[in-house]
Amino acid sequence: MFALRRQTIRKFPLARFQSTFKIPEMQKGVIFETHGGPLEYKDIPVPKPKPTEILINVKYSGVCHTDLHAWKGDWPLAVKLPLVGGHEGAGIVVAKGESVTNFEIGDIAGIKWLNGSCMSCEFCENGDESNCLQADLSGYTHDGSFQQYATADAIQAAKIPKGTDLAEVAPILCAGVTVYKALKTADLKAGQWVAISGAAGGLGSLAVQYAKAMGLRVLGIDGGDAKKGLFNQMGGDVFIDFTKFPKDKPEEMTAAIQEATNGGPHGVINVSVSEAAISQGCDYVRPTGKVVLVGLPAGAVCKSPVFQHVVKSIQIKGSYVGNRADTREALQFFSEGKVKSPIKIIGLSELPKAYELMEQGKILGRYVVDTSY
Amino acid sequence: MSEIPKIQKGCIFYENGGEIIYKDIPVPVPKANEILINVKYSGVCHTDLHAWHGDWPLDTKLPLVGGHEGAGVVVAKGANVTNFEIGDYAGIKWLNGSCMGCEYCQQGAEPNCPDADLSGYTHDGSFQQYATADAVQAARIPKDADLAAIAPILCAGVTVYKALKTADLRPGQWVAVSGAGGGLGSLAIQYATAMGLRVLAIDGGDEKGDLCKELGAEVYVDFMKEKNIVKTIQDATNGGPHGVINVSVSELAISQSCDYVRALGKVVLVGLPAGAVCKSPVFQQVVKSIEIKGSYVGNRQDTAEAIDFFVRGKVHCPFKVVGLSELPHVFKLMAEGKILGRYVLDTTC
Repeated sequence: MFALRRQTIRKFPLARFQSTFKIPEMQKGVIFETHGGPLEYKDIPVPKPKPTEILINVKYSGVCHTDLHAWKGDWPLAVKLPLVGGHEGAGIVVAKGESVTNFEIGDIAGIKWLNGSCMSCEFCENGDESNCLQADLSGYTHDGSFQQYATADAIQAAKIPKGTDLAEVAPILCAGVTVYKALKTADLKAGQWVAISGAAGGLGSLAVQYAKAMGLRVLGIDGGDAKKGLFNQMGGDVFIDFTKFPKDKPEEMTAAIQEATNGGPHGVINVSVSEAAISQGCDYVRPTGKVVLVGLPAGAVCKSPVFQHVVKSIQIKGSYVGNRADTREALQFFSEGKVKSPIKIIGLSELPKAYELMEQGKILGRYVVDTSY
Repeated sequence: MSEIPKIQKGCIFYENGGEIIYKDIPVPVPKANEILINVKYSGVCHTDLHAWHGDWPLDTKLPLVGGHEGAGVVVAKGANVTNFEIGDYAGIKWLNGSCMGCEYCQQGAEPNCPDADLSGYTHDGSFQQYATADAVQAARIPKDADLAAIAPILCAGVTVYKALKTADLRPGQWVAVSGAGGGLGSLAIQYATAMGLRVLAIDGGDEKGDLCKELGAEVYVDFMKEKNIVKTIQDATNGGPHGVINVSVSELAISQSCDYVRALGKVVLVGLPAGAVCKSPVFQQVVKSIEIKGSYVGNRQDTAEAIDFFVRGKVHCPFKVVGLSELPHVFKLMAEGKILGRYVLDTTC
């Protein structure tokens, strides 16, 4: 168990900023050459920002399950190889390309999943930049935040207020934005029930808090007492421990969830890595309810019996990170102290250990890597 | 005023999948909240075939008089009925009655009422000459309406109209209608066109193709001829349709629609093939950010709006009239996929 960090410990010493930074040629980063191959903590070159990019001295980066999927090559989308992963990076702008007008040296910036997009297709036009067919993805098609210096398109890079605790804010950049957007996608009203499937993981623990801040009643599903303890700490209302129900009789857990919510939750946010859990949400969701898909288990298929889907008139909606406005809004909740990811800080060099624990389902909240060791 | 008979003709069956018998059956007596309708015409919906077979995980009453697209004249009413008069035209829809007190009824989602009473499923329906319906749910039909032509609107029309509303599209966007040459599909093309959408129709064979184009589809895709139907549809719509209305009886077609729909698009499920499961790869659904929405008949407001499009001449279901006694033959053609548009039964023969 770890205690939630207090914000004051990690406040960045603004007084020591200089108007220009000395940018090294080489840096430390974690890079891999093949899927599932060794993750090497080594010296790699510091990238140069393009005219439209900023160069961020990444101080902290969250570790997301997506990064594990990227390393293993789980998804039907090719990564760049070799690859520096990571897409929850928070740091300081140390250099900028000549076209950049919206960041100054010394500003705090964040690297999100969407590193850059084309800004001229129908999706970008509508603020759906993540769905751009030419999307450039941090830690996937663009070297990401598991290094000390990383580049990001200045339009997409997140603006973070001065004085923010960088370790604390890192998980908001992906996990926070993603669950916040998922809750918006669920389109619920204050007072309604939302079920968070995978309620005590990196995304789940934030989802519970955003949901409470949005006035919802929260039912959490996860496994074991440690996860239950964290869920209660985050302010959730009812916890369902999936390990306590028979696997071969899913209808029993479905019945328990429907009873606890007097008819089924109005919305379900799927942030677990279980394919079965996803389809089960279609069974326990309330009629006219919304099932939101967020988590991406390798090869998973959501199976919804058509008769039930129609007669209950349910909706299954895919929700994918969030746009710049969602990012700003999600960060606002954080700045107001309404959400805080329970983090554990380790060195960047210890990233493989984080992946191991993640695969075993043993992470409560989020691991954040400190790029200085 | 003509007298209401005690005995009438109707099509009844005693077991799911058993013989459908055209015979003399009693005329029902309306409850205090019901009207008695002299059904002149009834559409035949694929649901009626599913009900007869017992295809669905919901029990029918047995014995059962099927049918839920009945259009006729009010000949009697219960003591509590205030919104219909004898002689009014009325329609029997899928939803015969609901509780009007649960959270779903309170919000106008009456078809989702857990105590819903369903015409031609849990309540004897419109394949008879006289049928009862809860006066709150019975559809209002204008006095001068063509009862044979309006019958299919009561379920097929309402259902596809609501499905198009559910797809939440803007005029100028593309909608694909999967099963566009059938009873629901043929109406979907017309409602979509009336709503300003561009229509890509999917069905099988040249005859269905001709019908779809006649009714206003801009593009016809023949699933029997296409080698790579997903690519064909995406190319024709410059990236995939913004919405898809699934009104076919094919499980495969449903899952395919998740593949060809545009990013951020809406796939609407309407048709209910026996035991069908919609299989959507999670990665694709999230990264394309698509929505899969179930749409189920429509409420009273949807019904009024759908009828209004018909009354203004914007939609017309291509139909063929046969006698009520020929229902088994209609079911046979339906099972073989041979029906273009709708069959409507004349209850007098």
